[in-house]
Amino acid sequence: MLVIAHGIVGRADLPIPSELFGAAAAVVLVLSFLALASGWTRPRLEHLRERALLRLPLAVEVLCGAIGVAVFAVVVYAGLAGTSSQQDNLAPTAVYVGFWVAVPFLSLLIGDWFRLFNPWRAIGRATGWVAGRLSRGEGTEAFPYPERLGHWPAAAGILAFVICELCWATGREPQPLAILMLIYAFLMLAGQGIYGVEPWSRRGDAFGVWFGLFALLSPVGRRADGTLVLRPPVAAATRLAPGAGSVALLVIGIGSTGFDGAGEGPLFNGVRPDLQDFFTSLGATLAVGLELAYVVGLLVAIGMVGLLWRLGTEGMPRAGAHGLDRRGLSLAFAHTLIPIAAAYVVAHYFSLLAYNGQDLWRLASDPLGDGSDLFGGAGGSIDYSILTATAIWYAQTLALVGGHVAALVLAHDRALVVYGSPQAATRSQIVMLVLMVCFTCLGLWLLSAALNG
Amino acid sequence: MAAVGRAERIGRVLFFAHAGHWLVQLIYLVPLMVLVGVILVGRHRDKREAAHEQVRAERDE
Repeated sequence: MLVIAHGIVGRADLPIPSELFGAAAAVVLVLSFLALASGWTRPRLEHLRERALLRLPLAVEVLCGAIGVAVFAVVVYAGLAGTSSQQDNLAPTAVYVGFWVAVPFLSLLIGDWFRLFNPWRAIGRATGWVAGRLSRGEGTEAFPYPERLGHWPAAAGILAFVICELCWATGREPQPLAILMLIYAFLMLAGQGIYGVEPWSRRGDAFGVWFGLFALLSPVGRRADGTLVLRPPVAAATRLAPGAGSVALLVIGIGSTGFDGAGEGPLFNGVRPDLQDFFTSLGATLAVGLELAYVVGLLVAIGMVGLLWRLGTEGMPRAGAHGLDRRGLSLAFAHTLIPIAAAYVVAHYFSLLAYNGQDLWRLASDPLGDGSDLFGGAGGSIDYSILTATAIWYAQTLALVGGHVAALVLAHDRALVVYGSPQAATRSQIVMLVLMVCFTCLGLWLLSAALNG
Repeated sequence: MAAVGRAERIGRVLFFAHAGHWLVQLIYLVPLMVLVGVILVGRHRDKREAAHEQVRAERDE
């Protein structure tokens, strides 16, 4: 993935220094905070106005699920039976670009479409339907999903995935990747078997939950009865039902994306050799030492984001109208991390999707890398001229600042609910403003370091 | 003096002719402008709803 993701971005000819961008972004956040304090005096996002569009028939859900299962099967087969070259096998690009990057981007635009195509959910539902028919309604009941488990399985799944993506070289090779996909599918089916398809999909399926968070920012939503609705963008984030592990999931997502940027810059590369030497001195090989150095860097990045969040929630007064303690405040404001996570993902992976996303057509035409040309695109190549490095930088800046302004809006709106008066709400969010400025400047610095490194 | 006036005019022309270069550097202001727009629309809606409420209350009386 390091090769796939990061060997493509040219040096940015930035029109003004990145430090100035950081300062300007901080000013924009402060001005946004002041605008909210003076003009946003009552909660507006807790009760969404939705406009119903149409109701998706069951047949469409079945068809989408079947497509999802078919794509999953093709990618696994390509990984197992195709060439071992990462560049010529469909599996690595399909997973790390088509799945991990493109799905969140699309979820931001058109809502939780992945839920329809989710292959594990589709298999689970089909299995449940068949089992129900065979047992004639006398099948065993699923266990109730434990509250204390919350989003922890999803958080663990995302952490495992980012370790495979960013730290473990073998996790980017087609065959091991295909095996990991099968293991993940097995774990999902086991979870569905124990706790039921829907409860597990909504809480335990790492990717279903992660992509679903991005979908909450989308202007397109879907009700439980299958009706598609239009709604204000970002506002549906207030519907997040946080529980155990929800904050951890978001912190892992933000921290890992931040580390993906830091891993290319001087900050991590300065200490990486020392970390590698430390692990090799303990007996690890050079390769394993390097991988462990990356794991340490990743965990430190996640820990730093967690610490920032802790400081942000510690800085909020406890004595709100709801009498929430620190954990209660952390959960009440957890949804404000969603646009930050989205901003980091869009900013960091925008260029990867624009460039390497093009390669999906070539790889789909020759999924095994054996010279076939199923769709006539096997001879295609990536057109790097579609975006300049400066254009990428502007898109990244816009995403980061926009995401953090959205987070400020969500936090202010929730603070009005928790603290009652606009004055108390504004005062409670001063530390959160500092936190947002930190996240924005950190993100811009990581991006500029990666771009100029 | 005529030369200075011409230079000023050329400067103004260049300022606008190169707007594409410097306008894009203000891209980070877009979220703030959107937010201000949302706040203004919200306040306008609030005022309109308050006026409707008042009319309704007066009618009920």
